[in-house]
Amino acid sequence: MTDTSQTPDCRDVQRAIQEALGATDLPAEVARHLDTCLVCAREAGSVLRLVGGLRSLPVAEPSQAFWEDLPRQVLTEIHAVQRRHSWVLSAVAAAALLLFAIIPGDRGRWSPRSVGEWLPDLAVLESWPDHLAGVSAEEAARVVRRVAVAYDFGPRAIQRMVDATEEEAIRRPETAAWNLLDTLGPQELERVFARLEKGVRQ
Amino acid sequence: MDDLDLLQAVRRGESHAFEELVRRHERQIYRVAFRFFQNRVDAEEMVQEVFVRAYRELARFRGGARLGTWLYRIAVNACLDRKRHLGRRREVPIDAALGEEAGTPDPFARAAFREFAVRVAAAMEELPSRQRAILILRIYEELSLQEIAEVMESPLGTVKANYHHALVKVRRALQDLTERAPTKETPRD
Repeated sequence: MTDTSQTPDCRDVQRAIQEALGATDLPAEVARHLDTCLVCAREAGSVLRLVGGLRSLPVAEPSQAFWEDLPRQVLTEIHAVQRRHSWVLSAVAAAALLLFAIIPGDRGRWSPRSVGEWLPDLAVLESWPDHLAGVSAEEAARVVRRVAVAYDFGPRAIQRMVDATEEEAIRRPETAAWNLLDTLGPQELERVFARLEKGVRQ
Repeated sequence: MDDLDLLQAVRRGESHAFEELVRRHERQIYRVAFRFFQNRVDAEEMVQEVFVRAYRELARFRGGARLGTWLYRIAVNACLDRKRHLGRRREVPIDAALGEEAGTPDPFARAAFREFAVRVAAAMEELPSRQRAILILRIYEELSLQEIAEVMESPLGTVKANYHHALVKVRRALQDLTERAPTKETPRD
């Protein structure tokens, strides 16, 4: 074996070495090269020692009880999420219906056109409980925003949450809408409904 | 019953099928989450989170990829989301240093192994999240770079570049230790 300077061939070999998990992963031509090139042989030794060292670190195992309980925990959480969604959807749908009940007349700032824009969202809401997975999170976030903005909730804190939801919907769409409505909570929604009933606009 | 049959059963609402699906893939998901967060508590929470997400997104799984690949994707995305949410931690978790090697009779070997584990944990913590995920999928899960590209939904070239950058960084961080690092190969679960 002789110490040679690096060549393009060596660069290819060293790239292959970096992708290997062990000596047996090395292609035959790379292994042959290592027999004749001290630089690459040293590089291979170093990389494979590192990878071997990393792979020697154990995974701290959870308790047996964790594994036994996991499927039940997951199903419980899924059902809890479904119940939460169901509650949220009922609340949003009720708010939407209430909106239609109060918008006639001059009290609101609604135009027939803006109401028309709502209809696809209502269709989404109606189909949601049965086809949850078929509704995209972006749609969910859009519905939430329509509800919040359209109703002109008033408090700036809520408006900020709505704006944050839009950003969140891009970043982490699957939970954004739920997070917003969960954050609002039933009491705030009740207050909103009460304001709507009185036709109060802030 | 293969994974696709199980999926069909889950879609028909058979909860035992979903339970079986969890059983088949729980350790794969736990391993990834543990390597990513390097502590048991986060990893356990992530396993649960991943399967809840998987259930919610089942309708979108078209069977174009292997179920395992799809679950890896959900797991990686969940880890990246959580990491973003947690932000940067001040302390390096050390669960990664606690394992079977702690039982070795040689106190020097034990100390060296622990030091190595802590340094690896610190080096991993320094990696950008996506690089960390790619390194984990390659080194610990033994996925090919092409498979990782599918999991990450990234071009192969990007994955290769990220993997190489990650390896270089970890190597640099452990340079003084790797000459005496333990080399025992850990078999996959």
